[in-house]
Amino acid sequence: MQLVFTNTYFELLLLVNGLTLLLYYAARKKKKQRAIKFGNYKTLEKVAGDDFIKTNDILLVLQILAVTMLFLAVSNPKLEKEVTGTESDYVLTIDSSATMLNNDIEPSRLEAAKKSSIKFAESTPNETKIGLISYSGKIEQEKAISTEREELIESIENVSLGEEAGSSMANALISSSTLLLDTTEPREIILLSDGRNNVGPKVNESIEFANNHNVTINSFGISLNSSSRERYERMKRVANRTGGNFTTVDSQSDISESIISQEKDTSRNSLQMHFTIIGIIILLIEWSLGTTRYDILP
Amino acid sequence: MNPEDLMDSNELSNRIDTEVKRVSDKFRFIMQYKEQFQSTGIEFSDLREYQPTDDASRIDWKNSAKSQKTFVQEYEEEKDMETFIIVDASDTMLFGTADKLKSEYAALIASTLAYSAVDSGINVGVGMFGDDYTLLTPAGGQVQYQKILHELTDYENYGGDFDMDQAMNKTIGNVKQDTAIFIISDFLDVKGEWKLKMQLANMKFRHVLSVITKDLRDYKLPDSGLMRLESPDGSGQRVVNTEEVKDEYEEEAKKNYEEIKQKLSESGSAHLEVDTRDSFAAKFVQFFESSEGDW
Repeated sequence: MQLVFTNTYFELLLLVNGLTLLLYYAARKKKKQRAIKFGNYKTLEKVAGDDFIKTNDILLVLQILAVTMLFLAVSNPKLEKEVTGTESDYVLTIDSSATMLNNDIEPSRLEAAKKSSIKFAESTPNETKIGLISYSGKIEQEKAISTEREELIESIENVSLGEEAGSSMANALISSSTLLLDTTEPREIILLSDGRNNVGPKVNESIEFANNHNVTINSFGISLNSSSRERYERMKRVANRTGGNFTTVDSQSDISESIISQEKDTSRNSLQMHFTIIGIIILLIEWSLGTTRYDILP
Repeated sequence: MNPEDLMDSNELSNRIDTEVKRVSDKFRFIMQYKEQFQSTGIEFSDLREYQPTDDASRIDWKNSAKSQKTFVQEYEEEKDMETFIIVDASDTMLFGTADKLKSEYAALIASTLAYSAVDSGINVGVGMFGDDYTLLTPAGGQVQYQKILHELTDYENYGGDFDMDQAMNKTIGNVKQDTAIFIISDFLDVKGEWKLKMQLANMKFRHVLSVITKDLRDYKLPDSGLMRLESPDGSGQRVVNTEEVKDEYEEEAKKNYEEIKQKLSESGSAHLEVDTRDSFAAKFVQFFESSEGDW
């Protein structure tokens, strides 16, 4: 079980949070607050020691905690835990563009992806809902999520070379995310592609859309090597930014094993509301202490 | 302290002047009664051989009878003692929780001493010591009293640290021998190694009296929970739980006062403790009565 943050700007938010706290702390230290002048300050300093500084800082620590919690909530935190496949519903998103006909994987990248998808469909429990999207320069085939395995397998078998040139990965991911809106279970996409996205919107838009709807994308980069750095990074980014797993695969058996082993045991639950509530509760405690026990005169 | 936070200087001057005149009759009475300041007239000085020009009534027959010569008694006029008042004008004095700041209370004491002296025909001067110092050498008359009052109520003369070493140096250097010195201070954060100078002052001057001026909060904290307190010069702030530290604070403050009093006694200075809530005139009366002129 681990906590992951899926907001695209998570690192930026973390930096803003740190800077905000630093600035707040510096301003607080620098700013002279209203105070009562005291004649025998020297004796007071001597007897008070360090204890009262800690007392005063309790409120500061609570303020820092509350602000941090709210920043983390905005960062869309998700709890990743080991689950069986029955807890998630899936959409298989298969790239059927021309480059997938490359036979560096026997018999071809596309056929390997199809066969692996069928194996995945067969291995998941009957109650798991699975949908399908295949794409080239446009969405070629779309099947809503359901528990009907035979229909699904038939659809997968029917996936063929796309009619339109290019690859519209981002469009396909947005469509896949849309299909998953019909389920209340954890939502996951299995993307099988060689990583091209040369038609339609940028991949970042699809990542944002997926995150907004709590959809996790697990990407399987087919035949990605050092010469395909851009595609490799794209596939990796799609997975990492949505809290999914990124895997490179070089053979059909590789694809099948990877899909089955990973999809059966990952689930993510959004903790955004939890963090927000904790932040608000801490703020209320801070306010309450500040007006009662730690109320400072004047 | 920001002057805008304080009372108008003229208003303060008038208020102190009124209070001085209200308490000074009683105060001056006791001072005159104890003859602390005024001379007794003339005093026997020596014997010398009779000269034809001498007044025959001054012949000392008793001593002349014991020898073969005629002696006359010689007298010299005893002069009035003068008064010089040292006022601590540091930041710690600009604090008060009664109806007066310690600095206002000190100004009232100093003004009363000055008024009583002037009204009795005794010369009086004042030295105010903070970051800067103001020094009025002893002189007589109402004009001198008004000058002293003006300086005591001028906010420009307040602020900074009280360097007792410097104050004693200036006083020893500028004030003549036959003088009674009053030092009005809270003795809270006195700078300089002043003990030796205080001893020198006690050797030079006829009297040295240190008036330890206290505010209630100088030695006692309220049960108010958390308070944000600021140093007198505004350089530091602290949040303190007064309920937790008040006992220790009282103990430490008491210890500090004992140390100050010990140091004053060792250097030969008499001391008198006054609180801003008290009538200082009564304290002075009590002090002069109990000391019987030997202070």
